[in-house]
Amino acid sequence: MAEWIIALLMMGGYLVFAFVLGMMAGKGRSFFSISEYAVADRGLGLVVMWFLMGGTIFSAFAFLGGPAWAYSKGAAAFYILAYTALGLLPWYLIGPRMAKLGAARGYFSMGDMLRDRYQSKALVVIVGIVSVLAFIQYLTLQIKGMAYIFNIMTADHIPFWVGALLSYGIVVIYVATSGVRGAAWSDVLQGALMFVVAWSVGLYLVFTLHDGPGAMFAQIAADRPGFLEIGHEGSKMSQTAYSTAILVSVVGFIMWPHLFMKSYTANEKTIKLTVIAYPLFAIFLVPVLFIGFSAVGVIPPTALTTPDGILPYLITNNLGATGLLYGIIGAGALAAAQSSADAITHGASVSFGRDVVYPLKPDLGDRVQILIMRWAVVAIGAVSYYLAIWGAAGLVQLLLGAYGSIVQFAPCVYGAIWWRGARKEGAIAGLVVGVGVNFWYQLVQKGVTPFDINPGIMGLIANVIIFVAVSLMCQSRDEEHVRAFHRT
Amino acid sequence: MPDIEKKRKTPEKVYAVFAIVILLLMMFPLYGLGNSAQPIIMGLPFSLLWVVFWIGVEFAGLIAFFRYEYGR
Repeated sequence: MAEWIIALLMMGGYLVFAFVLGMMAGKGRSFFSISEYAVADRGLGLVVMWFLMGGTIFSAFAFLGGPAWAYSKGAAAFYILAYTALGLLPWYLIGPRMAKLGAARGYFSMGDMLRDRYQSKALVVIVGIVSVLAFIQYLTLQIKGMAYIFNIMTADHIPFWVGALLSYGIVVIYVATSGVRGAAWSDVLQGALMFVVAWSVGLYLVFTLHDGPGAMFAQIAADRPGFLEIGHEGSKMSQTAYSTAILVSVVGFIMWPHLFMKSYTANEKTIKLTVIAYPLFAIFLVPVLFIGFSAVGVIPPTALTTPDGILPYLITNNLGATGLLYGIIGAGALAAAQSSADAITHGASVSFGRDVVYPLKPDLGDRVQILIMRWAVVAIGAVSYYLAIWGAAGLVQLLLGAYGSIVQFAPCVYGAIWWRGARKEGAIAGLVVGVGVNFWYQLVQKGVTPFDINPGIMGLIANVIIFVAVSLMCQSRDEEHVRAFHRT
Repeated sequence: MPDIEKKRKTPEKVYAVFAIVILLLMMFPLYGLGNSAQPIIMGLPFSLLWVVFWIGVEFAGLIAFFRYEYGR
C-alpha cells in the first residue's frame, strides 16, 4: 500500500472518531433549548472546560505559526508563551462575575450582557457584526491550515478543496447538531492527541538535528547573535512592539466572544480552576517552539516559500517518509485546527443569532432563534470555506481589520462591570473610534505606528479617552437599570 | 452546581496587583533583566528561561489564591 494511503486512512479514522464523539455529545439533550446550545445549560465540568479553553490556544496558528515564528523571528516567538500564560488572568475576576450575572439575568452571549447594562441595541449590533467578521477571518486561517495539512501528508493526492471540505464539514455538522457540548467533547480527544504529537515531534527533532536543546540554543546564539533576544542588533522585533503585543493580547484575549461566553457555561470554581491551568498550556507550547528553533541554521530559508511551511518541510524531509508517522502528525495537526474551529464556529453562530439578529427582531421565539443559530453555523461555515479556498481580495482587508478590532471591546466590557458611570453613548463612541484608529494604523498605515506601538494599543488609547469623556457628559440621566445590574 | 465550598471572598485588589506584576515582568523595561541569550540553563536560553520561570511563579500564585478562597 502506498504510504500516502496509510496516512489518509489514519487521518480518516481520526475524523470519523472526532465526528462520532462530537455527535454523541449532544445526544439526549434538548434540541430546541438556546441555553443548551449556547452554554450547555451552564453545567460544563472541569476537564471538559480545560480542553475547550485549551483547544482554543492550540490552533492551526500554534501548530504551523508557532514553529514558523521561532524559525524566522527567534525570541519574538516567546510572545506566544507570554500571551498564552497571561491572556486568561483577567477572567479570574470577570468570569465568576459574569457566571453569576448570566445565571441571574439570562445571558448567553457577550452582547446580552452589554444590552442589559447599556440598554443599547446599536452597541450590541456593532459588537455582533465586528465579532462575526473577526470570526470568519479566524476560521479562514484554520480552514487553510487543515487543507494544507491534508495536502502535505497525503503527498499532494488530496486537493485543498477536498481536504478542507472533509475536515471542516465535520466540524460544521457536529457544532450545528450538538452545540457547545459537541465542541467541548471533541476538544478532549483533539487536545490529548495534539499534546502527544507536539511533544514527540519537537523533542525528536531537537535530539536528531542537534544534541539536545542546550546544544541547539548554544549553536543558535553563536551563529546568530541577538536572534534569541528582543530589540538588540540581530533581533527581529523591537522592545515596544514586543511589549505592546503582549499587552494587547492580555487585554483582548477574553474579549473574543467565544471565550467570553464560556463564562456562562460553568460555575465560579470551574472558571477559576481553568484560569489556573492556563499557565501550564503555555509550558506545553515550549516544544512547539523547539520545532522551529531546531531548523534554524539547518534548513536554509530559501528551501521554503513561506516560514509557515517549516513544520511540513521538517516532517517530509527529516522524519523519514512513513505513512504511519504522517498519519499521526496529520491527525494531531487536524485536531489542533478543528478544536479551534469548532469553538469559533459555535461562538460565531451565537453572536450572529443573539447579537445581530435578535436585537433587530426581538419578537422572535426561542425555537426560531435556535434554528437561526444552528443554520448560522452552516452559513458562516460556508462563507469561511469559500474565502479560505478561493479567497476574495476585497474582503481580506475588512476581515483583517475586524480581527484586530476585538480588543476594542475591552473598555465597554470592563466599564460595564466595574464602572457605574459607564454610559451607552460613551461605549458606542469609544468603540467606533477605537475600531477606526485600529483600522487606520493596521491597514492604511500598514502597521507603521509611532514608537512601533501595537495598532490595537493605539486604538485602545483613543477608545478609553472617548469612552470616559462621553460617559461623563451623559451622567445626568437617572439609570435605574445600571443600579439593578450592579446589585446582582 | 452552587459554590458551597467557598470559604473566603476573592481578594480582588491583591489579585489585580499580582496579575499586573506578572504582566510587567514579561514586558519591557522589566523583561530587559532577562533579555539575554546567555547563560543557557537547563537547555534554555536565559531570555526563554525568564519567561518560563515567571509562568511557573504565576501558576504557583494562582494556586495560592485558589487555596486561600476555597481552603485546603
